[in-house]
Amino acid sequence: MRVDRLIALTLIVICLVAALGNWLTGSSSLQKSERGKSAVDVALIDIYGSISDSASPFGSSGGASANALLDAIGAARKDKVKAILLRINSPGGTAAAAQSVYHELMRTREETDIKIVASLGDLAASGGYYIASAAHHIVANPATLTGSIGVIVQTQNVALLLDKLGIQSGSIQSGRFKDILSPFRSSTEDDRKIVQGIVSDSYEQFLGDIVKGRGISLTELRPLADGRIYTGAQAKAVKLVDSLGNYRDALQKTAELIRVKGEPTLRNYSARSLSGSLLGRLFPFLNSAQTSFSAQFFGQSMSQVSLSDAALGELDNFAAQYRNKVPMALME
Amino acid sequence: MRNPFSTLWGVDLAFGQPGEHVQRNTLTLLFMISFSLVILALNAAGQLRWGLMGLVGLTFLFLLLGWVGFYWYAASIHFLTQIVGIEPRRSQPWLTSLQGAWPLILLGPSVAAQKGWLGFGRLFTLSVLIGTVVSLLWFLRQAYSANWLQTFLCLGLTGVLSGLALLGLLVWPVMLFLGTKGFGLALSMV
Repeated sequence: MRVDRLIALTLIVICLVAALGNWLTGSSSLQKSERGKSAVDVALIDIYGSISDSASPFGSSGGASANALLDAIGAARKDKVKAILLRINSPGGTAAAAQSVYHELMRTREETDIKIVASLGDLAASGGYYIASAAHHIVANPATLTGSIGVIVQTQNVALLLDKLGIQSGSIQSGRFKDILSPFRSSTEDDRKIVQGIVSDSYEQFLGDIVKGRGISLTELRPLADGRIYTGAQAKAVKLVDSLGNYRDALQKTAELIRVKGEPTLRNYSARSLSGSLLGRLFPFLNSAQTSFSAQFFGQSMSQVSLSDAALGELDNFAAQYRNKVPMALME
Repeated sequence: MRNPFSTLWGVDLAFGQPGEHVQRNTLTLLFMISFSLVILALNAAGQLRWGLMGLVGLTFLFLLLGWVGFYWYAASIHFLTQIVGIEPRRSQPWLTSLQGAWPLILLGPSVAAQKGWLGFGRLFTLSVLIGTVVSLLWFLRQAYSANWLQTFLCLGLTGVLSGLALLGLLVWPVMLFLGTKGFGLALSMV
């Protein structure tokens, strides 16, 4: 190959590799370099949609990835921000995913002076509230739906349906509980005992963490934590949230906590997915599943929700319990 | 001045020659422009911290709108040169004039440089942008028998015309709506 062509090819490859690096590393390093000139006061972290333990480092397309949230918290700590503002609009998610985010926030509280404020949007139920409880201060709109403190493992038995269709199912397993919660047979008493143990243990961990995060006693919390949902105003009355207001109020509260006069400088640390990004805002149908979930709680909007959306949401919930063919404890 | 793509595929600026050579030049140019747009999309996706789906969407958007923009650029330049009476030097002057955009691929390394050395990276980026304008002017001169001043004016006027055309495009539907009594819709709304 001629030398000039070799140089041209090298140049093109360098440009492509550099641009790929720009995409993969995002703008975090650039922001870090710029920090010297303008330090960021508040790290904004969005927690939108169902919380799960997604492996993707680029964010999840259908909800909040626990790994992406941990990365965002880590980046905020590295940048030595004064506060983290969590913007939560989530129906919950898997127990472990919500718990991992909660613990990372609590570690941040314990090891640094970073103040954490949670702003609850339409919905911050169950796992969404679990994460919020790690905040120093929780702000909710009066009509926000929150609470739903509890753990659920749902079971389905489709054996009768399969019988009608003439389909027989079976399994070859190494132990008697390997097909626990299989949708192809009824649960036995022993199955139920095991699953109840898992649910109860997760629930106690959940309660213990809320007690630790919110600074209330277990005896105060337990009657409130029977799975019921609260409006923001009701939650304020029972001290599950600290004040009522919208996102702007939460930002103001954050400024107050870190003693910044006027508007604090803010940077969004969330890994943005397509549906949560600008395109998602321009084309709201990308967020239809999330919208339909909230709309079911608001009578006036119910007529706008198509049946297929609602059905899809149910199917999604069902599928979520059997990710990787393993029944999962959900905080939803 | 040759762009690296021309060098790589062994083509030159002799767009006047007929046959396979012209076709190969066209393909090289199509690849070059698309590659530049992909580099811009990768940088933008990184800046916005968008994931894979975001990158794919952004790439399609940049390719579509980028090509529309380049189409407008080439058409506008050609239109202006016709008005001023500047003769094209080659049979496909638009192909030559578009080659001037090749320095845009250097925005990949320049943005990457900003992460390690912010000052240098910014200077590099600014140089690439200025270099792109100079390159566009240089390739325009290759495409048309124009002096530097005429070339500069053509490029500047294209920018102004683009803005005005966009304004016209936005205003026309409003004018039509109002000029036709809102197609009868205005009355029913009242």
